[in-house]
Amino acid sequence: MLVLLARKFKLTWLPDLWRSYSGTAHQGIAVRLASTSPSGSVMWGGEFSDHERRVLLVRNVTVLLNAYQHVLYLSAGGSLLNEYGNKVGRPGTALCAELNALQLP
Amino acid sequence: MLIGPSEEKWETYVIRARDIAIEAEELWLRVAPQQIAPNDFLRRATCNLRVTLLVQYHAVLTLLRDPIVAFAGETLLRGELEALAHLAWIMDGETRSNRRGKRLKSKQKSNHCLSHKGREWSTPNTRGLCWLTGEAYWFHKNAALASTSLKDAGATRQAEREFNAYGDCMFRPAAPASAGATRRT
Repeated sequence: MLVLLARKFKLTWLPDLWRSYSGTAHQGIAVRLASTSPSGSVMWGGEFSDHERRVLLVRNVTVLLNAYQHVLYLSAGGSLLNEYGNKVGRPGTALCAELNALQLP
Repeated sequence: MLIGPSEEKWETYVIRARDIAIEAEELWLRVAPQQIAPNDFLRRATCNLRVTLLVQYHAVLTLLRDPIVAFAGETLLRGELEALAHLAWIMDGETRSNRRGKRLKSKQKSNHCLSHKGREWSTPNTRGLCWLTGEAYWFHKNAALASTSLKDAGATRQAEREFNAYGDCMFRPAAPASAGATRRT
């Protein structure tokens, strides 16, 4: 389903993120991969850089915007979707655009 | 030289992201039914998924405030993706190719829920019932396997009753004969 959604909304990271935190693997693997350098040495990778925080925040908002419009539609039909676009979708996409425009080290 | 935003600036981004969810929640509260009818599986499933989505969304925002624990937010985002996938499935059903692909990939005999929206009976409400049945099945299974020191007395029986109740709705002649989960006998 995430592959379909990724194609539909052009969000290629949806299935990738799912796979990297797959329920069939240990959830710590992604953390360990991020804290290992290409040479194989292990470094402290627990602290998120500004770049990674930006990515996580944008993804978090994007998933909420997509999922909550389903919640509203399934709860009340399409009557509120225009209002949802104005009050939630627009500030959400503005925030994501602002974050994406940040010049980060 | 590039310099990242200050911690105060990050805080304002996080607050803006939180306000977006609060605004969405206010819209939902305006239209949300005060009580959900017993056979309104669609709203029951949607309500369950909405709670998961919001809890994990706000948890990620809390974790993002501190760079030391922010990495854990990725794991929680995966839970949000699951809610999104379930909501999209309940709303739209699944394409024929996707269902066929899963069957070919799995060596087991298919007991896949017939979620093709081309089927007459496959509506968001029946797909909601499929989802609730699947959830109740796994909840019962997990509760049955858990040690008695970890659960309340009667928790397993209660989970079984809930699963059977959804199963009965699923197997009623008016509803489709296919289930999202294999029924235990």
